[in-house]
Amino acid sequence: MRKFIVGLCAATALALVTGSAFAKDPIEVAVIIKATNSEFWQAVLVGAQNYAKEHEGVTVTTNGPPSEADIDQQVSILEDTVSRGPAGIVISSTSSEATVPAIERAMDQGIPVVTIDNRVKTDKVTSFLATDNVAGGKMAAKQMVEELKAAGKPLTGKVALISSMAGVQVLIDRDSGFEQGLKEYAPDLTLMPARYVNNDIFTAVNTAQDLVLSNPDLVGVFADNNTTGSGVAKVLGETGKQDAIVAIAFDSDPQEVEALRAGTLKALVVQDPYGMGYKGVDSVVKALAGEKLPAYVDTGASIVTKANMEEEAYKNLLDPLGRAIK
Amino acid sequence: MTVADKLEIAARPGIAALGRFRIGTSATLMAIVVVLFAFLSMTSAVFPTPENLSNLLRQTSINGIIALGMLMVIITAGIDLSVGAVVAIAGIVNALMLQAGVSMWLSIPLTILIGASIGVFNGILVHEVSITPFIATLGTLTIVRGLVMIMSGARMVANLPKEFGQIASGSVFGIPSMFIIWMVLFAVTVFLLNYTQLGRNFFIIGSSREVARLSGIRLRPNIYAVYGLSSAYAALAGILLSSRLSMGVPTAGISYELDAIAAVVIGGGSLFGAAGSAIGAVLGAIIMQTIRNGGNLLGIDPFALQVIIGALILIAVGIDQIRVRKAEKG
Repeated sequence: MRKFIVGLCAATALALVTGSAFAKDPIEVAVIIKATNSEFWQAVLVGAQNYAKEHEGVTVTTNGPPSEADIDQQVSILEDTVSRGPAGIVISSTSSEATVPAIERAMDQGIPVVTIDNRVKTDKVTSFLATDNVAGGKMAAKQMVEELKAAGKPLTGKVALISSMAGVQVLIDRDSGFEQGLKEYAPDLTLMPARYVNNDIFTAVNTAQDLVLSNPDLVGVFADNNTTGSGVAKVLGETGKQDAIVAIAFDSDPQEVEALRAGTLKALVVQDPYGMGYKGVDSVVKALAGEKLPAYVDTGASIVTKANMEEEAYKNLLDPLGRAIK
Repeated sequence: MTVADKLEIAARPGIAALGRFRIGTSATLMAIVVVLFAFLSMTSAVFPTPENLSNLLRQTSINGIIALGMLMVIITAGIDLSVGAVVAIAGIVNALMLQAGVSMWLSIPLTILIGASIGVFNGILVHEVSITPFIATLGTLTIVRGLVMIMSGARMVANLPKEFGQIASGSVFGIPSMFIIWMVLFAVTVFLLNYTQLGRNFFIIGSSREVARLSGIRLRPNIYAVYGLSSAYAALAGILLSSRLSMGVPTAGISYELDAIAAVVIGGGSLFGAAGSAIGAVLGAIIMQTIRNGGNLLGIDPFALQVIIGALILIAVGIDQIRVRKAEKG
């Protein structure tokens, strides 16, 4: 009797699952981000949701753990999502490994999975969309050289590198891209060894203060994220050296945008998280339509300066959250 | 040691801590500071300049203030891991009030009061619920960090009034106001520890709770007070930090508790309680930041710098231990 009931339950469950799988009209794309507590990931969601609002027949569900430290929680969210069986999944996986089994299971079940921002260690994904941080770092170097030339300065002297944290892959990529770029575009500039600030803005301020004071031949500073960028901008503003020292920073937040306007940062290298979300959902839809997708797509980084920051396209990059369709 | 001996010590509190021992520790620390300053002045032309020295004092003040509060907790044989989180919540709460148009003369005392109440919450956990201070304040740290994120939406709170930013960037007769505030708190702490019953109670509680109870010291108000003070100091540090940055930063103060503990132990504080001094904590904080500042000026490898600071903590504590043991034998 008990066997019979279990069997009946299983049959019902199966019927429900297959039933819902056949009735996948509209297409539901589940978007899973690394952390809900960050503007960057919120911008990914805005991009994904806007896609759904612009395309009839596509719905987007969003989920993610509160912080990037919650790797386990993200894995369970993904597992639950795969069991639920949406039409496709877009995920920015915090861990490169922990989510692999669930991603492979989804792919085996015919659910296309598009990974964004962070590469996972499996080839079983539909497509991978991310910023090429090495290229972004190189762009920063090129911009710095151009700013120096525009200011009529000789391309000699020291350039400081203030890095948010040691041992983080995206930052390592940005820094090494910057180093390569500087070597290529202005080999006579000396890049000083990186100083790390533990992503603490006070430490960033203190470090920038010390570097500016002790290196009278300092002509440029590269800050590889928003915390370091804001710290450097603060010090250059206070010491009035914003025109003597060209500072370029990665990312965008309200403080950095204000610094760009004030001229304490000469340029920002910004990624396109909105584009990652938008193109991520688009890739899933295309995959479902049977299109063959490239294994890797660079969503690109852009240089925003005081001159172009008011243009629509750059304004959108600086403030992706403002693009949400109501 | 019998209970009578302990009572004897309790009756003349701080004799071990206030007398020869403390002067010895401070002398060692002073010597380290002098050697450091001499070395850096010789190797870097920038180090001894007034501009760098006032930068150095500004850079040290935040940790220096937190360390003074931490010192009192450590004297009672406790620990307060929540100070870094309190720095963040104070910065955010105060900034939110300022943004809402509250005058800073009201928002600052209110924020310090909120900070102090977080400390009293720690005191309740430690005294009433008997959770060890390490765990109690670890729990509070996590709760407060979460609250900060909820209140700020994980965003910085900027566009604060100019006068508020001027508190930390200003100076009086060329002396940075952050340093002056730190020194005022130093004086307050010296007074509390050496000239009030409260301070003496902290030492007695730190040497033995049993003794404290036997000598009629009521633990509750003292425990509440010490954690309340530590959090109030941290809140003030948080306000100063947000003034320095002209914004409330939700991720501010991460791992500041460790820097504060390091400053206290370099300064002769013992996690076993009943040892440590305000001057020691001040010098400990100065030594740590001087090494960081000098490292930046000289371009010393940042990872090597970390090794140096870690080694310094162990050497300072090690030398002190050996000296104290010798003094006890002699």
